[in-house]
Amino acid sequence: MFDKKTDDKQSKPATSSSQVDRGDLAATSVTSPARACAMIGSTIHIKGDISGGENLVIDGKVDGTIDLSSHELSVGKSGTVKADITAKTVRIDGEVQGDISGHEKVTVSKSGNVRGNIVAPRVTLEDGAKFKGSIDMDPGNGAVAAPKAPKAAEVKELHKDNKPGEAAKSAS
Amino acid sequence: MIPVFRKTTAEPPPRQESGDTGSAATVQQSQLFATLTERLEPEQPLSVLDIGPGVAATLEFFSAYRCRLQFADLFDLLPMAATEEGLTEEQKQQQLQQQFTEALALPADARFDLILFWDLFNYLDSSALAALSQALQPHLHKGSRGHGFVQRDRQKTPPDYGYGVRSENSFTIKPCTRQGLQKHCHAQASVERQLQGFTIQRGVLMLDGRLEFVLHAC
Repeated sequence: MFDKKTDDKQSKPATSSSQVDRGDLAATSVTSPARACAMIGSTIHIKGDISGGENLVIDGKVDGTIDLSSHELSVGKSGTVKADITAKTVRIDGEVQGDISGHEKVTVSKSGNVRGNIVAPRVTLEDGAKFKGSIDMDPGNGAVAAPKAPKAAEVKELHKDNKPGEAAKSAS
Repeated sequence: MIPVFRKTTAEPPPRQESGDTGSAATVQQSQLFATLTERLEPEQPLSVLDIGPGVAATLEFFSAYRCRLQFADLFDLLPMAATEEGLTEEQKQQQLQQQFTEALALPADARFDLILFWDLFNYLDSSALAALSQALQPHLHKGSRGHGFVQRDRQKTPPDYGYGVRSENSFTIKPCTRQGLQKHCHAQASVERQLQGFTIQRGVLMLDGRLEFVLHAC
């Protein structure tokens, strides 16, 4: 079910080192020093939580959660993901419904369609990308916390001609 | 504060973005957007709600700030109307407000410093405009500001646009099609009357019959 892309064309013996948890199915683990990433093919549908120690390409359908904190995730054009995603970098060419946390970068390409909240130091929306949700570009904001409402007392103290930025300021 | 309304002929017509030969992206000068952005400081946390879909240019512009940027993409969910029969006017209005609340899908505790209403009002009648403002009320604070464009002149019919911020003084606009949506024109006084929680601080009538406006929460 997980195809493996390899940099070299020589087949190499598979040994265990990476792990993909997928609900009720047994984990698949295959290792190759030359492996670039694991791949979920376009006809595969997974319900469950995915975590692992290597890069992953999703061309199929995933419902659950995806945690690749130290690696890259790519959702291909035919990929459909309903999951909260955590990865080092995330590239979306297909559809994602869920919150995305990118430790380094999140890119939604021109064919990408995302409904959810993105938290990452760098976010790129390519021309033509569809996105509905929030993008948090404040590195000091801490994870996915929503802007907090100013307390009643704080609101009263705000000057009539306050500058924009008060919502976040009063929240911090 | 007395709203300022100025008719101007200084605003140049949209010009084609250099190098863009595809879908005729043009640059639209803005006389008012800078009055909002000049007050922003890069190190100051900022919370922005764009009523439209996510646009690369807008994201790029606000990435210079410590910003949380929310794209609500309400255009995708229009038209909105009370559908149940036998409702009183008040009940219809409540149902409409509920539809906007669900469409906005904002966190209950979200408060926005800046809300961007580019062209949305063109597709809302008076009651929908009021319902939208009621749905936004819990997400405003006294320093909240708004910016938008609305069609004011019935005699002129510019195309539908998708907007992105190009600079403090200009927008990138692309004609787009929003088929099946009835268009509405709103005078400045009408917008101000329907938008609860906001007053129009400044308005500038553009050559193509659109009104650019800046809102202050009240």
